[in-house]
Amino acid sequence: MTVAAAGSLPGEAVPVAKGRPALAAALRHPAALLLLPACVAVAAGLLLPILYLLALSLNPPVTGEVALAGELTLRNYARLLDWFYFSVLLRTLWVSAVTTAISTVLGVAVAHSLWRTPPHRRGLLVVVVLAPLLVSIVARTFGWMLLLGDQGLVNAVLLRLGLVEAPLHLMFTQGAVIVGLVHVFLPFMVLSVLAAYDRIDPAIPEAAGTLGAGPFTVFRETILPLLNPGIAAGVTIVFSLAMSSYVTPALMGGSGAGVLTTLIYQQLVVTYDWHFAAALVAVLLASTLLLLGAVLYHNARRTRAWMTRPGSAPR
Amino acid sequence: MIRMLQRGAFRALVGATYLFLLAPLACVVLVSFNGEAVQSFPPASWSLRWYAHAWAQESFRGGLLVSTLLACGAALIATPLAVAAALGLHRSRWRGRPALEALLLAPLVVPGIVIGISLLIALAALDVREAPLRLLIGHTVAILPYGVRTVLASLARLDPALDEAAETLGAGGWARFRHVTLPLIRPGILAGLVFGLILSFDDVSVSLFLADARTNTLPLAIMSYLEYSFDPSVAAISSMLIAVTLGLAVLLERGFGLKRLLAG
Amino acid sequence: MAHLQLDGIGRRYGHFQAVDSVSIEAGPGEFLTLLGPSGCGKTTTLRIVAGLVEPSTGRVLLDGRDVTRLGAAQRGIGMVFQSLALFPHMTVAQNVAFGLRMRRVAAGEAAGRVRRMLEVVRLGHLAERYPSQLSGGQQQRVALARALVIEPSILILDEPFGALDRKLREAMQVELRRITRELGITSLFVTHDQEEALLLSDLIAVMNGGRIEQCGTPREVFERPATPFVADFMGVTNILEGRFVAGNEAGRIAAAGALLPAPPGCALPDGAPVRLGIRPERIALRPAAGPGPAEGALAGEVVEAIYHGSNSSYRIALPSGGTLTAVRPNGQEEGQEAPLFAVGQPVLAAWEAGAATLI
Repeated sequence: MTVAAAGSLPGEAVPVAKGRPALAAALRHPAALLLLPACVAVAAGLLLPILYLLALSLNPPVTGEVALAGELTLRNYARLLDWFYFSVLLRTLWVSAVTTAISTVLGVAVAHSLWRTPPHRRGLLVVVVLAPLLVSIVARTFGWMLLLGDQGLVNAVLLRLGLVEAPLHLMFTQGAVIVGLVHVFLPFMVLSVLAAYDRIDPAIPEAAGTLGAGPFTVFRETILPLLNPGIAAGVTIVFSLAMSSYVTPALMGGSGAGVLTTLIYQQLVVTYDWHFAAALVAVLLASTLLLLGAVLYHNARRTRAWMTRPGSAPR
Repeated sequence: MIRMLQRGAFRALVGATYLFLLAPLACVVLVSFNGEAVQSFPPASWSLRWYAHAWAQESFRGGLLVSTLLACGAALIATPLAVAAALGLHRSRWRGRPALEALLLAPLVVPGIVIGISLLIALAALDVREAPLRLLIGHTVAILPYGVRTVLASLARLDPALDEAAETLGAGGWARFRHVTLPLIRPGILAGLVFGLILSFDDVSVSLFLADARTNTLPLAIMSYLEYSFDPSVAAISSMLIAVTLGLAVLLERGFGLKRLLAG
Repeated sequence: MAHLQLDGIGRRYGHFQAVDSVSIEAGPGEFLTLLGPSGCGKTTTLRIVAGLVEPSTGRVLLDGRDVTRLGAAQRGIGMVFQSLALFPHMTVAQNVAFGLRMRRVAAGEAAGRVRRMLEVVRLGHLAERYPSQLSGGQQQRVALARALVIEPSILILDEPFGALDRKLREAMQVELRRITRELGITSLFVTHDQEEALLLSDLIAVMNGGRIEQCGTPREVFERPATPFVADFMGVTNILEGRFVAGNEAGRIAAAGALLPAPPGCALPDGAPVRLGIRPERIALRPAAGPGPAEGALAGEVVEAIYHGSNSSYRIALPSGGTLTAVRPNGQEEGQEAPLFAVGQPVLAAWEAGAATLI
């Protein structure tokens, strides 16, 4: 840890204990002492374990072995090229992409309607959108199982209306997984887009409307470009969350709908191939971090570009 | 004409989305009051029998105990760490500050399942196999950044002159924290604490690999119950989960409300 | 009541010298103001006195005792902050009592002192309110009471009236004057408002670029500014460069192509370069009778005339290239229409010898 050099504090003159330089230096910087416990906790509980896992993924696979070996190999990663595992990876990306696309359309629509709602009525609607976020993912997924099951509400309605003869098999399909994922992650998209809406002048659509544009044209021409940063953030968050979600695919997906996380679970709990599982986790971690990193970098560059733009007020 | 159609289609889409968001939750609550022996929709008769049935399940009762203890333990450990770290970050004008902030907020961007697996393997390599300890470490790390964020947010709203005013009036470092900073950031601390409780209590992905047969959390107990049976007792226990979380969410809202009171 | 002395104070932030060898003194009970534009180092100087910033060089002395290395908590100084910094979670009485609580004053005695101090600032009836329930002026008084109740050796005020509207500001200035005179406390005040400084102070130190340009009584600083910066800051906006011409009596000054009266009492060698400063409101204008210069006056042409209600201001272009600004009261007599002089009109500008100062 390199926190001992943290911040110099003007006006903090602490009497220094003689003869114990390390302690004295730390005492002169209370900020370092305050930061130390949490940094140690995150380093020991997250950073080191992840580094260990990455190291393990480079060792040759031995069933049930967790100690590091001296031999380095890429064999665990090479197994991903096997069509079976590769198709799981492709399916994960596909399911996440469809989830993200649907969440984006619905999320922008909901955020737009929230933005157009007068403030005194907005509160309740925001709670309706955000409450699912706080409810246990197991309870929410179970709700979908009730709705989509062979004896579920959707089938009951379809049967009663005479639209189908026999119940449709909606559960344990890729479609069910996508529906479940959209439900779980839609609130994140709404939150991201709402953050962008908060910075838009409500008079803009009215101004465009007085110029004779229809509501959809107004939206596409004047609002959508301003929403881009919020949508980009929401897309990243939803995509990476969808890729790393386990509960929904495990409960709602069938045997043919396995994704990366369920494959990892299998390798760890059923086949005890911890080295291969470690490689799969590394792939999952790398793809989510790369995505988030790209958006963070993009946002930082936009901010810089905006700050150094000629004509903008210097700050 | 086209405008009206557009507007109507937009309203229908938004209405359907709200329905989509609420339907599964409403469904769970409705089914939990089912009086029949089998899952059916809509229920033909009403009763509380599935609540009794859920309560009779050893795995649910055990899971409830484990989840409650775990959530309280993790939140009580993570909150002081988060408060101290946020104070340290807030005060430091050091160049390395962004790196430390990134480290402390890292658990936010690492998927829960990755946190769980890497802890499982690293602790197994150290020959630590006690599930309660593994769970406590995993949950503490996972909820820590939420506390750091809420406390940092309330610190950022403080007028730095308040601390200096207290100093000129003769207050030392501890007295300034105790009498000025702490009361003013208390809503942020409370919000972080309650948010941590909710996240820990509802968590599946971190716990998935850290729990074992003897120490199982409630969400995991429900998941394994679902694998072999599909009766409304899961609806009953899920409704209870929903009630607990919404209760905590009200507390959270009240915490933020307090904050607004202070700002105004 | 204490004697405050700053001895060669400097503060450097990286390559930026915020305060540069500042030495000033305020005797017991004196009201000293640091006056200057934003960024001139006045607030940093004040914070060094309060103990919130450590100086890079120099010493702070209170009654001859070196307190430079003492923290703010140990100095026993009362400070009123620009943002007031009232504790929002405490009542008025709790805010005022805070310093006494930190000094472990017995509860009974503290309550009495808080009550008496709230009477001094005329807030006795609002003791149980929270700061957010008070008006801006009332909040000012609470901040003042909180700083004064600990019986500080000196009182420090950092632009406390900046956020108030003009009327309230004037009322608070009078109030502050009354209270500081009543308690006879040594005060250090920071402002960028020259009128405020003139009204309140016994001594004014005008700062610019981290240094003190001039230190003196309000009258000295106002009437005899020592540098062009001080002159400009104190409202002397007309400055003419010229030479001293020795003669009988007071002598004259040759500037802008005319021979002008020199201020009384200046004894300079013949031909010495001088700068002459004249306030706009001391310049008299009259219509020019004919072309050419007149004795002791400057000829020019009005290029701008702006109506301000009771006054009008005129900008006059001089044949030598510069401009003068004059402010004249608008006429009260019948038939006179303000402004009195029209753009394009040739005028003569003159002033009494005593109205100008050498800078």
